[in-house]
Amino acid sequence: MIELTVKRAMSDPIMAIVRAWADEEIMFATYLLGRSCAASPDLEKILAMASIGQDEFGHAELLLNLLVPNPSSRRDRERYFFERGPSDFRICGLLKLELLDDWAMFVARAFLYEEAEGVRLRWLAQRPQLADVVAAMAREEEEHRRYWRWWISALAKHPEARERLGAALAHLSPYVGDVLWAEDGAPSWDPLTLRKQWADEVSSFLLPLKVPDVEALIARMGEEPGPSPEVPSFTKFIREQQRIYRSDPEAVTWG
Amino acid sequence: MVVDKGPVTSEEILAALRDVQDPEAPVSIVDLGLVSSCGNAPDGAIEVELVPTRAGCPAREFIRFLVEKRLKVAFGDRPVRCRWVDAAAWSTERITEEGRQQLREHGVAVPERDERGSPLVRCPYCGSARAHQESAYGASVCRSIWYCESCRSPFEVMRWLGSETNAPDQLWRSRHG
Repeated sequence: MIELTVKRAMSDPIMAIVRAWADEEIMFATYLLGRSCAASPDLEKILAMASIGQDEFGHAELLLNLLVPNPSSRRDRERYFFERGPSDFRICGLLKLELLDDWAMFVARAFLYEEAEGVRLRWLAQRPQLADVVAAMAREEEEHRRYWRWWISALAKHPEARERLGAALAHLSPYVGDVLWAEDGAPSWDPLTLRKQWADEVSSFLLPLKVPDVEALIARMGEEPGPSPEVPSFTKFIREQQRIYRSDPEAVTWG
Repeated sequence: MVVDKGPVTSEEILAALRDVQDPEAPVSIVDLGLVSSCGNAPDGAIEVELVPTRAGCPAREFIRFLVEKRLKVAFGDRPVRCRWVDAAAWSTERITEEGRQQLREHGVAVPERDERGSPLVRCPYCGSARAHQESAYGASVCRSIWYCESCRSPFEVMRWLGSETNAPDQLWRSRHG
């Protein structure tokens, strides 16, 4: 596994948060780009998912550049993603689910994750050493949140879609326990407070839409963090994503 | 033109970079506002700093490759250092008038401002402002898809960022609920 040389100016606890965040951005982008054709209902949504995925890859790169001497090479970043094992990725359970077959499920997961990102960005915005990265990410993340919120609203307008959305959110409920956890994060990183903010923002948006069966989800989001259930398919998913790279790690790419 | 020795001015570097076209928009990277700074380093190397339209622009590596290739053709084997900086710096206001014209000719509108300073999108084909956003995301990460209600043409718009943030999406929401 490639080791990243942490910049000395950054404290380890904040770097733990940044490192986990980069992993989550990479994984979310991978779903958006790799699964867009399978999950989205039409071409425009594929374009949107791919664009958001590209943004998220860019954010992962900005975050990784905080961890390694800047600028990191493309080869470093590729090795960081492709040469690690599944258990090396520090991501929440929500992002271990592939959710291939249901648009409502895909939207629900994206909505929950992007709302959590908003909370995380606001916390990081208070750290001067991260100001440039936060500024670059914030304006794009705001667009993402608006996009997924629009989709939640659209699905909630129609009875059948609303039911499916409710079922999707309920299905995700067991996997929100470790969102915004960061066990070894900075002392000022208070997961419970951040999770309560997350739950408040999600519920204030979701409840007026009368999406059914979301009470347990919202209650779980605002609780103390804890581990998510194992997702056995995640190992296979990571191996699949890394298969081509591992077949020829020295293959030449741009840069 | 190949100059092997002696200083190269920023104007000469910019002139050379005008030949580098953005891979995803039919316009030079200079007119698109991607070139943040350029000049000679003390060691004689040519340095170019670029700003991306979006943090995750997938063309960055290729654009850097094109920049280095063009500068080697223009200035010989002088070292070239090209890097991407400040992912939050770009907005459509960096696009030059010439760049806006070139984009218009290819069916891509750049947001303007009306007399009150509010964002305004005009159809690149007929000039009408009676247009609405069809999709927040288009064929590339920096463009959205719009529709002209006057000439009934779909067209693309360079996405708002920076000082103009959000306006098209607000319009989109007002139309689509």
